[in-house]
Amino acid sequence: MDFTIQSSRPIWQQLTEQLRRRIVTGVYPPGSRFPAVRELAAEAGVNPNTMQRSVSQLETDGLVITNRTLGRTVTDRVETLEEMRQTLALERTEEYFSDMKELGFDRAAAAALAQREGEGNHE
Amino acid sequence: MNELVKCEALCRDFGPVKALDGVDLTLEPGRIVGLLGPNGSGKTTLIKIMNGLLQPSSGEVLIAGHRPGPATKGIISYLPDRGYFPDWMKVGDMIDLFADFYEDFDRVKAEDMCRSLELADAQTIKTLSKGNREKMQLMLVMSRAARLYLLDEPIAGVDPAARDYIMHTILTNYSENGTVLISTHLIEDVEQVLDEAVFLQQGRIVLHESVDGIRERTGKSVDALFREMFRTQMWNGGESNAR
Amino acid sequence: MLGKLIKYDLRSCLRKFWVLWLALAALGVVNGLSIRYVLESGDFRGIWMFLLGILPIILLSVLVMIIAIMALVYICERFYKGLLGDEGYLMFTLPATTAEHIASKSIVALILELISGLVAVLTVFLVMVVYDAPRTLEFLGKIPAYLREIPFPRGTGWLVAETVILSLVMAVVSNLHIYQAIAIGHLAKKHRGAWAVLAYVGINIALSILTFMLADLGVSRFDRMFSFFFDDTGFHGAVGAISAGLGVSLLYQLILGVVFFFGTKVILDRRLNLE
Repeated sequence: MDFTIQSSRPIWQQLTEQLRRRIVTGVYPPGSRFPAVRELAAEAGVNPNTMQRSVSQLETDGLVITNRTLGRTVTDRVETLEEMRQTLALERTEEYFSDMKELGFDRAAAAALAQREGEGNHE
Repeated sequence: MNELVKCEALCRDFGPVKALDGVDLTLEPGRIVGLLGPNGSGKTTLIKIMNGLLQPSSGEVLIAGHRPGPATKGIISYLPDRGYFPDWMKVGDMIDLFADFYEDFDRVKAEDMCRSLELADAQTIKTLSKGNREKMQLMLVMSRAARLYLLDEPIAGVDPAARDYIMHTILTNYSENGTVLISTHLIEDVEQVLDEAVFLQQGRIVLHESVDGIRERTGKSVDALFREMFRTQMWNGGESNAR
Repeated sequence: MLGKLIKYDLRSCLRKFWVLWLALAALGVVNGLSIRYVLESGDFRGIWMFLLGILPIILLSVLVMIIAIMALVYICERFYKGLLGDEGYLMFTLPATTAEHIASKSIVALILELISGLVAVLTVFLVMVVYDAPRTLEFLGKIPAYLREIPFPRGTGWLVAETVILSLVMAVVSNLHIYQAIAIGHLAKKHRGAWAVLAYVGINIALSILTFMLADLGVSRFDRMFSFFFDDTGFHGAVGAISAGLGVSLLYQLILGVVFFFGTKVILDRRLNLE
């Protein structure tokens, strides 16, 4: 997955979200070496300072660990990764609810719709 | 006093025209800064004063604490908005020249970039396409480990693919703790790469803020904010101040 | 930095002129041959042979003129375009001082003039050698002995040296004169070339007036100076007087050179405005 940057939101926030997702989905496997800031910045086409800010956020999240000798590695603590997975899932859920609200579905109706569709054969 | 560039009350007149009208600007090391403004706002004038090609009418500029001179020219890598190579020189000659005059020039990097652009050492500048000529100039400028890079309209008049190449080259080659000042009116293409944005309008700085700060504060992209602030100027031919 | 600048300026200069110098020398050889085999033989089988004999001489003279003109044009162009045109964006952002740039251009201009002059002399020599090698060498061999015969007054060597130095200085000053004019022209907003030409002429006029006024002052002093030396030791006194005259000219040229150099430097330091 490539980095996508939208123009009206702070870049570092968008990068943080996308990096979190990459870690949770295993693009950067647990325990593996986390790429250098400059590398990531070049890949995303953004300023290294901006990328640095995002990576610092990942460190605060506990998703990335900085070791003086080993550099940066992705955490291998299952609990941390699970927590983040849940958090991201909840964020998507909230987005779904607010989207549906715009379409005229209140929370209960939206949840019911999701349940129905989920039980059906939509793979 | 960690400032790399410090402009104080900088003014520059060309006859009755005030190209710069009291510019106060401070730039820290390690930043990519966009000098953004419409044509004629004074961007090129400001850059020329920083690298010693022009003297201010009043006020002063200090680069790493020194007035512009041979010492500051040694730490500034400048890309003008035009070709400045003698036509008869070859690619290899230009690399030799930069290697000779600039201590911070990385010859290996320059030759690598030449190869990736498929430019042969023996090719004369005259025979290069316009696009290749510009890329070559950029490549030489970015192969220096300078403390300050002054890039005057590096992507104007260049096709979108080349723009990406240029932005990528800038991003991957500027020196650690070096500051890059990119002047342009094509804000959309550079916004992602910028740390800070400086809006220049009719010789005055009307905004100097971090890009993230602008997005958080206004909920708009820098490009959108710029258009908003300068819209009236466009319609009135530059007479009113949209603030 | 100065050394590096000179290196680059010199390279660009040699690149342009070596062919011409070579051609001149070659024409010298051709002339030598033509004089030897065509003209001297007196065997003019019609008008065509005559022309064949004349052609090399014509070509030689034309080439000499071309080289002289091209050298002048080159000196002007290297300053006008090379420093104050688009190339100026490269030159004035190099870590070198304005003084170094001016010095480099002046030095290379002088070298250009010197080499061209030397090649011209060499060409004359080539003509003579090719025409009749043994006689030429014999003639040259006799020169030192011949010179030894002449009763040169004491101090002649000094005079010769002064003259050589004065010529060199005058060559440099004439180039600096050009640079000063171009720099003055640069102050204008438009038609900088035209203003430069005007400035050149203007400086010439100003200098003429100045020398006229100085000479006027000098004449009254000159016979006093002259009699001072003449009273001394006759012929040798004259040498002294001429030497003094040369000395004054040298001083005048040096002052002029300094004025032009710093005049140009100040203009470029304060009023550079490339477009």
